[in-house]
Amino acid sequence: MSRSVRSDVININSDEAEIIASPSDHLFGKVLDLSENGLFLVDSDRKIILWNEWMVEASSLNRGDVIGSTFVEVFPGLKGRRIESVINAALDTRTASLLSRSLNKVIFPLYFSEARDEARRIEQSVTVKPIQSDGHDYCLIQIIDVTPMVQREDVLRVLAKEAEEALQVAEEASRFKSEFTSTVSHELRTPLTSIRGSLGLIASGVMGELKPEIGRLIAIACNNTERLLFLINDILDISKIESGKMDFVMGPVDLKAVLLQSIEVNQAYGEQYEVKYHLNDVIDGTTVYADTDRLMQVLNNLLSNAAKFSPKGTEVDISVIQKDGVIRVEIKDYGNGIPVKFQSRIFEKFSQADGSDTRKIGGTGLGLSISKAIVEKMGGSIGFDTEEGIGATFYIDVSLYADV
Amino acid sequence: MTEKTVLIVDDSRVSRMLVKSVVVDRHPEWVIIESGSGDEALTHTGESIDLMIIDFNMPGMDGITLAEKMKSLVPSAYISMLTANVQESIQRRADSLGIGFVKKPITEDKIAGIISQVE
Amino acid sequence: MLEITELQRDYITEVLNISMGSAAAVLSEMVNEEVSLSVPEVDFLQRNAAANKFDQTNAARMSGVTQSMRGALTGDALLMFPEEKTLSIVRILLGDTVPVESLTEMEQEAMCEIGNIILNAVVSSVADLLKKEIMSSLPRFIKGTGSEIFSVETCDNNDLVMFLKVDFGLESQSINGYVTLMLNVDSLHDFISQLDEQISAV
Repeated sequence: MSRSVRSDVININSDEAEIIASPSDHLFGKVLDLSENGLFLVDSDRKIILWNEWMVEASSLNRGDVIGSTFVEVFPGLKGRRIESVINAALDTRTASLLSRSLNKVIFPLYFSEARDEARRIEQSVTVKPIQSDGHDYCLIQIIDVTPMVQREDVLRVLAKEAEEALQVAEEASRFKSEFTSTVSHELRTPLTSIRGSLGLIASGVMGELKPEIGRLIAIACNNTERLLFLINDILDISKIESGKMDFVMGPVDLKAVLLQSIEVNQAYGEQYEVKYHLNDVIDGTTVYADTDRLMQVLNNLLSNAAKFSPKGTEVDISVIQKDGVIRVEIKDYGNGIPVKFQSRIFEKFSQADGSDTRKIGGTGLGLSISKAIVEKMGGSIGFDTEEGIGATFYIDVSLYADV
Repeated sequence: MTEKTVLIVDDSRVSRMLVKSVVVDRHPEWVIIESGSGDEALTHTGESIDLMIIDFNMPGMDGITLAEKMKSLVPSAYISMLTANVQESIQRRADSLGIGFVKKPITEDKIAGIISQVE
Repeated sequence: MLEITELQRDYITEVLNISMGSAAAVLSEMVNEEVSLSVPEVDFLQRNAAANKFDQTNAARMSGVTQSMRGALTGDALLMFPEEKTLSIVRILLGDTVPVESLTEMEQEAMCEIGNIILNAVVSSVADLLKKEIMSSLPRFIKGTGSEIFSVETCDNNDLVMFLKVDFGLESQSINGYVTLMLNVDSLHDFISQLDEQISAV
């Protein structure tokens, strides 16, 4: 233990010099030595006058070696560095400073081991504070060991990077899947269109009278080719929606005109099921904000669904309700309603109430999921109310044009 | 002793006042032209200027760009930058132009040092 | 709003720009990157007007650093940037490649240090102007809206703040931030009279 600390050499009174010289004999000295941070004090002559136990261990320099020496004598490598200028600033202009680990990769040469092994260097966050006492200026330097924090953040950074890379791979795969689906569907559609054309010609009899049994087989082939084309068109729509390639031309749309046109298109389909469409009063000139073709696609889907699930001889009621700038189009059928256990899945892809229904009812099971995506892309929403055995009402909500 | 003409370019009026007061103190007979911007300074190139003291940070044209133009327009003038931007990159640009570089704040000694180049 | 003459404003701006120049030099040396700092605007505003200025000019939240001052001036000094700008400053200076949603502890500390350098420069130039001593504390990271930061709701005295716009130039992009010093009325008058004395000495 050094006894060379004298109050006439450094700017400190004799009581304090006593504590600094042999901290283990004094309560406050013990407190300083038990601190988990490195602490040292510099006086206005830049001489070190306090050096706690943490500093002794991390620097491998004993009190006797440093007390009374200037900061630069103890750390010659730090001459002209920022730490020297902030110590000067604390003593000259009484400003407190912070040196972070991120912006000052190497602050003090301090190590966890006596061997000064670079891999065992202590990562530091340093604070420099001015102190005044008895008319003298001092500067307190505190060193906080942030090694655990640095290590933890390094791990987090690696994890974040890996997560991002994994996400990129997943996005890449998903994009590939969409492109693949879209390409395959296009390639399927071309030959299928010509098959349907040929079958149609044969079925119409222009190629010669058909035997009844051949006519029946050709009709089956025709219907199934038709279904396959619908399915491919729906799959193409889905993949366009998923890859964000479906374009929307939004603008004012005359709702009544679109509804009338949509009903006309579905009239023949409804007749197959012996179902009539009935449009309740719509105020002329009701204009919504939408893409005409896409809105028509959704309405066609809902109207054909309603006919499909209606009992023979009933009507499908279509009404328009306006409330708070939102226009709701309701399509109500008087069929069996939607089974409770199916309600939550109804807008999912390839979902139909009962697998066995598919053949009887027809359709791809993609229509509602496409409709939902389209309505949402147009800023609206889709939903339904139903009671089993009584019927179902599907509705879409879109914005009134004036409000956009 | 000959009469000299000094051009002071600085967007800060107080800075121009400070520089001017030191010059006038030493050489009351010298002609002093003040400009608040680079563009304004360029309108004075017709006059025979012996010394230019130019600030770096100014709205519009910066001091180095102005000095560069002045160097070819008035080759006989001694030019010095006077700037709060004390980064090395700026000093290097001044050095490569062969003009003086003095750091703000403005003090009498610093201005006297610049003046001595043309006295 | 307190009226100050153009000449007074010019003088304060010049003094602040000189100290910002040296703060920029320190920062650029630390990060090996050209950094420019300047103060294009100085205003004296009431606390709630300053809060409004934050809330109106930046719909987003602000984040930055605060230090408290003691001595010739008592109060707080703040350096604020729109929250996402704070992130880009740190990213540019630290050169981190991983996009993380918010600032980590280490990055907050780095921001504190950047703020510390800038605020110390501002505070010491004000202290030089006053020819008095101002002690400043260590920086603390804060964020919030204008009214939260200026505690408009909880603080009933509507004292004046010195409001500086700061241009932080990094990598060919310029990021706008704000430095505010909360001043009490006495120190403000002291400040203005010191200013006049020094201007008349020119």
